[in-house]
Amino acid sequence: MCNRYKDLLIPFAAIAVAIVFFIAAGEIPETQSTISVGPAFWPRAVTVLLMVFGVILVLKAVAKNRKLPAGAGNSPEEPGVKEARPQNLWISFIALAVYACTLNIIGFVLATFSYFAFNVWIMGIRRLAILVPVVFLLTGVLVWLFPYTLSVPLPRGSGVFRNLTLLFY
Amino acid sequence: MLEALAGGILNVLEPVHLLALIGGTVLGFFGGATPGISGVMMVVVFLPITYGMESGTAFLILVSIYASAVFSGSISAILFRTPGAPEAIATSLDGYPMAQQGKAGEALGYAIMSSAIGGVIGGVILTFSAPTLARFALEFGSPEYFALVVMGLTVVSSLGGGDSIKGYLGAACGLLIATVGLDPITGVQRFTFNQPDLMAGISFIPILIGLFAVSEVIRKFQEEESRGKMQKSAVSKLPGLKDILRLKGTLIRSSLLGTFIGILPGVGATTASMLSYSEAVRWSKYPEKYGTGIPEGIVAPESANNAAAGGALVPLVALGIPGSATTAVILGAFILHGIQPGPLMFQTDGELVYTIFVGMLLVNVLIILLAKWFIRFFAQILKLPYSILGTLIGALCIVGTYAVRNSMTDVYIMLGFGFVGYLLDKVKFPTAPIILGVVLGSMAEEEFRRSLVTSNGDFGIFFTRPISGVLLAIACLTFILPIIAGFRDKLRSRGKAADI
Repeated sequence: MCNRYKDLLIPFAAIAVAIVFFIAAGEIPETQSTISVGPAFWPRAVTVLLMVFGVILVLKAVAKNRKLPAGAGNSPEEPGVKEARPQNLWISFIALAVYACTLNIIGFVLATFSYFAFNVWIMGIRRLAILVPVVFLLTGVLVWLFPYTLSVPLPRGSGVFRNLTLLFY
Repeated sequence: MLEALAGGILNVLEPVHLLALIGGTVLGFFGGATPGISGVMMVVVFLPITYGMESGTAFLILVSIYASAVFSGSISAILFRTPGAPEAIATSLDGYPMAQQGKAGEALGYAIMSSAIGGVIGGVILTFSAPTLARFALEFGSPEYFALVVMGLTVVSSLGGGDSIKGYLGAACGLLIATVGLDPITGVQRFTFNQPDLMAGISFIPILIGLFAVSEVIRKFQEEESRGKMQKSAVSKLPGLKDILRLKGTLIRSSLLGTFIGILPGVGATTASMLSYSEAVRWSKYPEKYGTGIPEGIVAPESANNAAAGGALVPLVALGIPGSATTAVILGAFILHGIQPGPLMFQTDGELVYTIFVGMLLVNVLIILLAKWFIRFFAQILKLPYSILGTLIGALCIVGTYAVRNSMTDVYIMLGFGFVGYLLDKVKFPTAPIILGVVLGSMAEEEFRRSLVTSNGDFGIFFTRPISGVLLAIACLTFILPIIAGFRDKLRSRGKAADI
């Protein structure tokens, strides 16, 4: 993203969020009590603060951009940590999201096994002699530790998957 | 008292009790260092196991798990930016950057040393003045709690990564997130958008894990394998006497603050560590360096959270009021063993009380003795390729978030904040103020409104009570002085430019 506009992104997002929540705060029902400060007071005060700080940041960013000579700040990204595999950002995040979404459907055991198998493989461990024991070991440790030893009621899934999970915990 | 104290010391020195302390400390290390397993969870798991034991042994196991878990949360916070326990949130702010600079061993050493010193200071205060302090804590009313939180929030300007307004904006975002759920005073729904899962509010754990751990995992998956620098230094190095003396101000101040906050019912070690970090920033000669990986940023929260762990036992034992979630479980353990905590406990079970207090002190010595070995064992995990380690951390983030309230909504919130955290890192927006706002937000609002209820809407209550008045005055000065200093610097630089 162009550096010139990078500083404006967060304050504009904050102002937008503040406006939405300020309007939503108007729908909070006032109670029939003698309490001077109702349930909407604090959220309204916070959203106003958010708008004020957002506007100050926008003004600061605009002032900073004006001082920059024309063409400056249009360079793509500042040099930072080398991102050798940028596609992994989306792959790893989507894998994590799919893992979370499938927990209630296929249950913790199968979802964890699938997540480990996919993510470890896609992130670079392709040798089956390493991949298979690692996936079984990590899944086994998590199942032993959380639902079995610590009795954390992790999702069992539904239908046939539930029956499968019941074999473990 | 001295008789009971001597009895307590002799009790703790019995071989079976020493063994219980060592066992509990090691168990606490595992619980605290593993993301997803908290100290509370470990105490809950071992509560039924200790039921059949003699009360001294049982409570020594429980309090040693509690105290060592508070410390060991810092291990994963420093090594992986994934706090193993909520008490270690603030530790990751400087601990992880220090580890990234190849100084993981030193960072862990500072965490061990400061946790032990904080725990000892908290333990000594606990042993000698528990009943007096408990009575003082009861004098602390809603206006004082509110003023304390406001004071903690004003330092966000220093956590803004060089831009104070960014710090305030982040804190305001955190405060807004904390308003979601049922209103604490009237019980009406706010910003729940008809989602029943949001009625209990948004816990700070999913936000913390998302902003810190998930964002880091997805970021690191993009990089090439480059953990050699960190790997070499993942064996803890305790700081020397010279370093301890250099940090003595931060250590003593944070330990005392931690003990005091721990004593306040319902506040806990997480708030203690955050407020202590804030105070360390306020008193520092170089506040802009916080967040970049400096020892003071580890020493302040670590000494405070372990001191608070001891302090939280004060209202429990002296008044029968638990000061935190873990002490609430320990209260249950007292009842299971047929003991009624409260002012009379010092007379009826004095020896047991001092056995627990001396045990708490000794756990901190054990932390110094055993932590190095545990870290050496735990750091072996760093030898794994990141494709395996990152995947494991990702799974632990999900399980750990789910385990807090058994809620999938929390998991989705955590994932959302993970992506937001990644974007904020990209645009170099500080995430620490958001966490500070979320942790302190609900307490700030609740105490603010409760104060107004007791004063019939009179805002003067915050300024007419001496403690809250002083705390708010300090907060106002912290807010205003940097603005005045900024204007003064601008005027000076303009004057100089005009002279040239």
